Amino acid sequence: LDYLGSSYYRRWMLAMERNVTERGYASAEELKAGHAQTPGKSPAAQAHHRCGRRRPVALVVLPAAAGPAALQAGRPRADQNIHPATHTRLPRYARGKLGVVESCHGCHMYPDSVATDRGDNPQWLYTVVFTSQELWGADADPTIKISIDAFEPLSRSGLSPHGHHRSRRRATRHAGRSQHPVRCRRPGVPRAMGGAGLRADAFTLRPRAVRLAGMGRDPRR
Amino acid sequence: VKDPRGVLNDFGIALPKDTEVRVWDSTAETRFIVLPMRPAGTEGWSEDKLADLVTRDSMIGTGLPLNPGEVK
Repeated sequence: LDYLGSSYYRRWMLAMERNVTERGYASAEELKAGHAQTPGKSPAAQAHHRCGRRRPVALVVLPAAAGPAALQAGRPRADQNIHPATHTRLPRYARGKLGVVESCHGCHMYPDSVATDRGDNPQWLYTVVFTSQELWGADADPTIKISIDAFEPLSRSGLSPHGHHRSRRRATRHAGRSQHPVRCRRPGVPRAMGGAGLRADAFTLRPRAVRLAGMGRDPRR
Repeated sequence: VKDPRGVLNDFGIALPKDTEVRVWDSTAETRFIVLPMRPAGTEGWSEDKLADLVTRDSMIGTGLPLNPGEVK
């Protein structure tokens, strides 16, 4: 058995190799050669399938300079105050804090549901970026940014709960007001391809700010 | 999460003040791969030659690869 005789990292590598070959992203020959021999396949179709008809919020890749300004401009109303007693993946330090959706990792089983025997309940998973000042206070080191994996049900405000399929019209409206035109990405497109010239549906978006479901002010602030 | 420069200092690496530090607090759903930054003066090097510059710490994000002059 490969598994029993393998080191921890080799098991990860074997699992990854099996996943990409079974799903048709790479062939055994390509793994052996170490580089692609045929054009790649996009994982987008699978991500959409798992989350049904819903589409994720339009995604933005921020130009470096636009981050802090976008956060200020997008500051939403007072946050929701939730106290989940069961398992949650939302870090306490991020609750109630304002961040910006940077990318989408597709649909994943929702640990908050799984942990309480309520099924996989797949949800969109985002990378949400925070400035250090937002999390740790005004005197925090401004050269540090913190990103977390945030599931959609744990985010609010900038993430419209039912407006995803209307994103084209909303986005066009936003584009007219945008001070920081940014490129948006099609879900499932690898991040490496998202920044440099790839534009989904030929419109630009204003960075969306999201506030994570919160527990009030951080006592450390 | 709160003091990444302090953690890096514990590993013996002090980044320039103007280097942006990005903390990735990941969960079980996403995985990250560390890609060491190419040292200056290694343009055109072969894969084997570059491999000599790679250290354990540079592969886990707690150090930089060796510079060309540091290889024996």
